[in-house]
Amino acid sequence: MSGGTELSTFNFSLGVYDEKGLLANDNLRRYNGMLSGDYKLFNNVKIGANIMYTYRDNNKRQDPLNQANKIIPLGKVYDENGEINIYPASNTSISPIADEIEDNYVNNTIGKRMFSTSYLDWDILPGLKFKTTLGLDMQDYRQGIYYGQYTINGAGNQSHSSIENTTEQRLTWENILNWNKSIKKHDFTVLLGHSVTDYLKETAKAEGSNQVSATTSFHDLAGNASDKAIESSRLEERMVSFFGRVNYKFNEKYLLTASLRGDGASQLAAGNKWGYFPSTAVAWRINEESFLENVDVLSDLKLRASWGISGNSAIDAYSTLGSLGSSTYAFGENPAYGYYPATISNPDLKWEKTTTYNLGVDFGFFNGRISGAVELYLSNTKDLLMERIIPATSGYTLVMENIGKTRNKGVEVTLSTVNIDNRRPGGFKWNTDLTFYRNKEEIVELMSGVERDLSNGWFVGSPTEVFYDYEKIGIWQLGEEEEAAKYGQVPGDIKVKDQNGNGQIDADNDRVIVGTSRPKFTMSMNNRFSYKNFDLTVFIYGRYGQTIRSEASGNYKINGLENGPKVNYWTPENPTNSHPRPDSNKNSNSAYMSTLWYQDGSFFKIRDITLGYTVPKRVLEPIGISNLRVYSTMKNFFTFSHMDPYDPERGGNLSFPMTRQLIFGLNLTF
Amino acid sequence: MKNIKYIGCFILFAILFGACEDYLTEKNKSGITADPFYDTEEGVEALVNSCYTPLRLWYGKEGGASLTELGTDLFVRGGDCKHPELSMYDNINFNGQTPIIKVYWDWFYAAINWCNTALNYLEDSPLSDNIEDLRKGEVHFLRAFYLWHITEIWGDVAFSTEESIGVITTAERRPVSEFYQQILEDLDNAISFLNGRTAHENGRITKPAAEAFKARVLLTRASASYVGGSDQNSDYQQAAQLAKKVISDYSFQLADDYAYLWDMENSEGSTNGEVIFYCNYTNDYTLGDYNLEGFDGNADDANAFRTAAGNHLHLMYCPRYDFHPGMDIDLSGIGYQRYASTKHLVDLFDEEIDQRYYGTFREVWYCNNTSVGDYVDMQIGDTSLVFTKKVVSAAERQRVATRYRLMDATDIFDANDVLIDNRNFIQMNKHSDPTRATAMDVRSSRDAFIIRIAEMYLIVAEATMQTGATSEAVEYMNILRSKRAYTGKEEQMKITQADLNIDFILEERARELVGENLRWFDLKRTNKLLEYVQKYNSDGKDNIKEYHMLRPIPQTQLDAVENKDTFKQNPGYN
Repeated sequence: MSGGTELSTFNFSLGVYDEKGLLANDNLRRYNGMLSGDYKLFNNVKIGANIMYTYRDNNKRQDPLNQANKIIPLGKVYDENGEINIYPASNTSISPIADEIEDNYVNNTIGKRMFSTSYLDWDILPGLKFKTTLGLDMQDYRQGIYYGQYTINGAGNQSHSSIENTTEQRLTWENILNWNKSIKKHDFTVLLGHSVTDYLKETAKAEGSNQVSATTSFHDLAGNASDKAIESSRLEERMVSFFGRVNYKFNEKYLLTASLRGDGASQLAAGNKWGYFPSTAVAWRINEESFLENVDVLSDLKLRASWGISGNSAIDAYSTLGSLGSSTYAFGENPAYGYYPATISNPDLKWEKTTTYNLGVDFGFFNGRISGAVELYLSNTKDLLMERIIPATSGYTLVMENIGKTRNKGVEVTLSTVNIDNRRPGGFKWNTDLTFYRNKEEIVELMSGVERDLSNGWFVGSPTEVFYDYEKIGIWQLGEEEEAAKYGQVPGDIKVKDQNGNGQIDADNDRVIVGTSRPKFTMSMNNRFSYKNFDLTVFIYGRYGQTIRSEASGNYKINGLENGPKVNYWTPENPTNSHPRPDSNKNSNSAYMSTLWYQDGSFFKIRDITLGYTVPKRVLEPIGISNLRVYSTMKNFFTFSHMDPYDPERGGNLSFPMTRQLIFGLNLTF
Repeated sequence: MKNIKYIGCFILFAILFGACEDYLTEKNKSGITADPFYDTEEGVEALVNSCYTPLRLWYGKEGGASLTELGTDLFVRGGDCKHPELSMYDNINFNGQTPIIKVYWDWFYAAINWCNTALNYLEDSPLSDNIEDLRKGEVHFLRAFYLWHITEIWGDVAFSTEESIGVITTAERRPVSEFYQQILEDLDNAISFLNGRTAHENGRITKPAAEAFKARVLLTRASASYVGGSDQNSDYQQAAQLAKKVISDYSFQLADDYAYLWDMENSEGSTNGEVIFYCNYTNDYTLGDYNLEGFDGNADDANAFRTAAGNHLHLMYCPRYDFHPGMDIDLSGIGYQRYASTKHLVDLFDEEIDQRYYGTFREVWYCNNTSVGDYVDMQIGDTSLVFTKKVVSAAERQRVATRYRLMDATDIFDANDVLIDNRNFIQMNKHSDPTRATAMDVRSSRDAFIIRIAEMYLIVAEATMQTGATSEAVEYMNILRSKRAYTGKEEQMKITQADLNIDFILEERARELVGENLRWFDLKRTNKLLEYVQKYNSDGKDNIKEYHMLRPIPQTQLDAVENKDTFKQNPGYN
C-alpha cells in the first residue's frame, strides 16, 4: 500500500513466507512488514524513515543422513503398533528417524529483526545538498534446543536442553555533503562524507543434561539433573571513516572520478588501525565523438579505466590482544578450571590492501540489439590476512598474520542480444544474456620468504587454496604384483605416482598440488522467449575447473565396519581404477586414502526453466483484476558433471543435498 | 550564513566524536588476556591448574593407551582398533602422516609452554610464599613429566624452558642427554619445593610423587638402550635408593587383596593405599561432553582441553560380548574392542597361585536378555559366556553345551598362538566401571593411577639386580610376589636368584602393570622391543625394525619449521 500528499508520502507492506524443508521438522515461517514515509519539513528540508521488521520461526533438524548411511539395514523401522522403533537393527544404533518421535527433538530459533533507516535531506543551496542517515539494525534471537536420550545426538546417553539468547545491533551514522556545479561544458560533483559504525553482539547461554521430562522441552532448564552450565559473551567492533569524491564531466564525453577514503577499524592493532584508500577512474564516451556520428551501426561505445586501493580488516575482534583458553581438571571433587595461553597476541596486524587496475569497454550495435561489456582487471593484494600454521614445538600451532601478497587477474564478458523482436503485439521475441568470467589467483610472495609453505598449503604461483597431496593414478591391478611390491603394496591398493621415480613414496618428494577449489571459468546464459501471452525463460549456469572434496567418494568405509557411500571398489573380478579393495586392516586414515576425496567438481546445469502465461486483459477487466500471470518453474533439474547423480554445486558434502524444485505460482495485481 | 555555520558545527562535532582514538580501542570484556590476569592470584592459580590438564589427555584416553599398550607383546589389534598402524609397524601407514602422532606432539609441546609460562609468572607472584613454593614444585614436576614422555616417544627432539613470546618458526634438536639433565634438574627442584607435602593433597603433586618419578627416570636412563653416556651404575644405585626411600618413608601399602586395587570403591587415588601419583577424574562433566574423536586422532581436537572430562579406558579393552547369545550391552562395558590380549599375556600368569590373573582379567559374563539361541537352559542371571585361557576337556565342553557359550584357549587362539577372531578375547578388566549412570555412558570417574607403590618394588628389584646386588633384588621381588599370592600360596610365588634376569623382570612388570601406560616404554628402554614383538605380536612381528624404537615426528611440524635442513624426520620414517 502506498500513498501520499504534497508534503508526505508513505508506503506499507506485509508479507508471509512459509517453507518446509527437505526433511520433516525442518521448516521456516517468516512474517515481515515494512513501513516507510517521508515528510517535507521545510521547503528545502525533507525527513524520512524506513522501518522493516521481520519475525522468523525456524525449526532445524539434525542431519539424519549420516546415521541412515551407517546403520545396519536389517531391521524394522516401525514396530507392530506403527510406532517408530528406537533401535531398529542392533541395540547400539539409534534409528535415524528417532528424532521425529513427538517431543523427542526440538531445535527452534525465533528471530526478530528490526532494520530501520532515518534520514534528513537538506537542500542548503542550489547544487549543495546535505544528507545525514542513521541506520539501526537490531536483532534478537533465541535458539532453544532439546534432544532426548533416544535421539541421534542423545545416543542412548542423556537428554540435553539449552537456550541461547543473542542480541546483535549495528548502528551506522553517515553524513554526506554533495555539491553540483555546471559551468558551460564542465560538470562537477563533489562529495564529502563521514561515517561511524558500531557493532555489538552479546550472548547468554544456559544448558543442562538429564531432564526430568521431555514435554517441557527447553522451557524448564532447571529440570535438568546434571551438567548445568552457563556462559555469556560480548563482542564489539567499531569503524570510523572519512571519504571524499570528485566527479568531473566534460562535454558529456569525457569523465573523470577521483576519491579518497580513510578508515579506522577497531579490530586491528594499535598504531595500525587507520588505512587510506585512494582511487581514480576515467571514461570516454567514444560514440559521442564527432568522428563516430555517422556510424549508425554503433549505438554505444564507452571506454573506461580505473585504479583504486581497497582494504580488508575482517579479522575477529580482539585477535590482536591474544587470548587464554579454558581447561578442565579437578582436585578432589572440586573443579579446578585452568586458563592457558591459547593464541599469540599479534601487535602487528594491519589492513590488508588490494590495488586494482580495471579496463573496460561497453559497446552496443544495431541500436542496442547487441550490447555488452568486456572488462579486464588486475588486483594485487598485499598483507593478506590469514591464519598461518607454525611449528607446534613453539607451544602454539596457529597465528593470525598479514601473510603475504596475492594477485588476481581476470576477464569478465557480458553480452546481451535481442535475437528476434517481432514488434507486432503477441509477436515472437527472443533475448539472450550471456556472461563469462575467468579469474586466475596466485600467491606472489609469502611473508616468511619461502616459495612453498607446506603446512598451510601455500605455494608461490598457485591459488591460496590448493590441495597438496599424493597423486592417485589408479589402483594396482593383477599382473602388477612385482611393481607394487617395490612400494610395499599389493593389487587392489591405491597407486600413487612416484614423482621423482626413486622407487620410494615419501612425503618430501612425492606430494604435489593435485587441484584447487578455484574454478577456471564461470559462465551463465539466460534466454527469454515470449509469444502471444506465453513467456519462457531458460537459465544455464556452469563452473568449470574446480576440484572439490567429495564425501561420496572420500568417505569410503574400507573396513566395512559401518555402511558408507556406494563406490566402485576393486576386486579381482572388477579391475577398476576407482577405489581400493575392502580391507579390514585399514581405515579412513590409512595410507593414500586421502587421495580418494579429490574429484573434478566442474558442472554445467540448466538451473531454471520458467514457463508463464499472462491471462488476457479482456478476461480480467470485468473482475476488476489488472494483471494475472500464472507460472511454473523447474529448478536444478538438469545437471551435467563427472559426479552424476550428485549435484557438485553443493560443494562435496552429503548432508542436506541440493534440491530439485518444481514451483507453481501466480502474480496477481488489483 | 547561519545555515553554513550550522553545517560546519554539525560536521565538526561528528568528526570529533568519531576521531577519538579511544573510540577505536578494543576492550575485551568477555575474554581474558594474559596481561593482567596472570599477575593476579586467581590468574596464576588458573595457569598452574591448566598445567595439570594434559595428564587427562594422556591417561584415561584412547590415544595414550594406543601409544603405550599397542605394538608390544601384550596386546594386538582388537576388532575396531583405531590405530592399527601402531600394532603393525607397517611403514605405509606408520609415518609422519599418522594422525595420532600429531595430536600428542601438539599437546605435549603446548603443555611444556604452559609450564614454562607458569614458572615465569610464579616468580614474584601475589601468592603467599608457602603456596608459591608448592606451586613451583608442582610445575617443575609436571614439566619434567611431560619432557620425559616427549623424549621417550620421539628421542632427541626440541624443547625450551622459556615461555614462547611472539611467533617462533624454528626448532633445534637437542640430544636425549640434555633432556634427562633438564628432567632431573626439574625433579630436584620439585622435591625441594614440595618438602612439606608428604601426604596426598586432593591430587596435587606431592614430594613422594616426585621422588618416585625420579626413581623411574633414573632407571630409564640407566637402561640398556640409552645412548647418552651417563654412569649406568650410579643411576641404578640412585634409582634403587630413591625407590627404597619411597617404600620406607611414607605410608603406602601393597594391597592384601589385588581386586581391592581396581574396585571402583577404591578408584579415588588419594584414598587408595597403593597410589603415589594419579590423574584425577570426577563425576563433574559441566565443562563439557566427552569428545572421543579428538583422542583417536580424528576430528578437530581444539576443544579437547575443555572436554577431557571422563576416563574412557573402560571402553577400550572390552570385547563384543553383546554379539553372543543372551547378552545385551549392560554396565559391564561397551565393546569398543580396541586392544585384544595376546596369548603371551594371559599365559604369563599362574592363575592358581597369583591373585593378579582373576584380578586383572574377566572371563565370565552373565545373561541379561532372553534371546538365548541354542542355549535353551540359560536364564537371566546365569552364566552366558566364558572366555578362558585354559584348554577345556571334551567332557566339560559337553556338559556346558546347552548352558552357555564356552570359548577356551583353542577357540580363542590358533595353533600359532594367534588370535582367531579379534572381537573375541579375554578382557583386561582393570579399567571397567559398572558404577556409571547408564550402560551407554562413555565417561567414567575412575582416577588413572600413574605411579603405584608396586612399581617401586619392581624398580628396586631391577636396579639392584643390574648392580649385582642380586639377593636384595630377590628380597624385594619376593615381597611383592608374596603379597600378590593367594593366602597359603606365598611360598610358591617366591623366586630364587636363578630365576632373576631382565626377562623375568619384564614379565613381572607385565603381570603387575599391564594397561597402566608403561609397557612400550619398558620394552624400549631395555632394548627388548624388537625381540618381544617378533616373538609375541602377530601384527607387527614381520614389519618391526630397529628404527621403530622411536616414533615418527609429525609431518606438519616438518612442513612448518623454517630450518628444514637441521630439523628432519626421525631415521627410517618417510
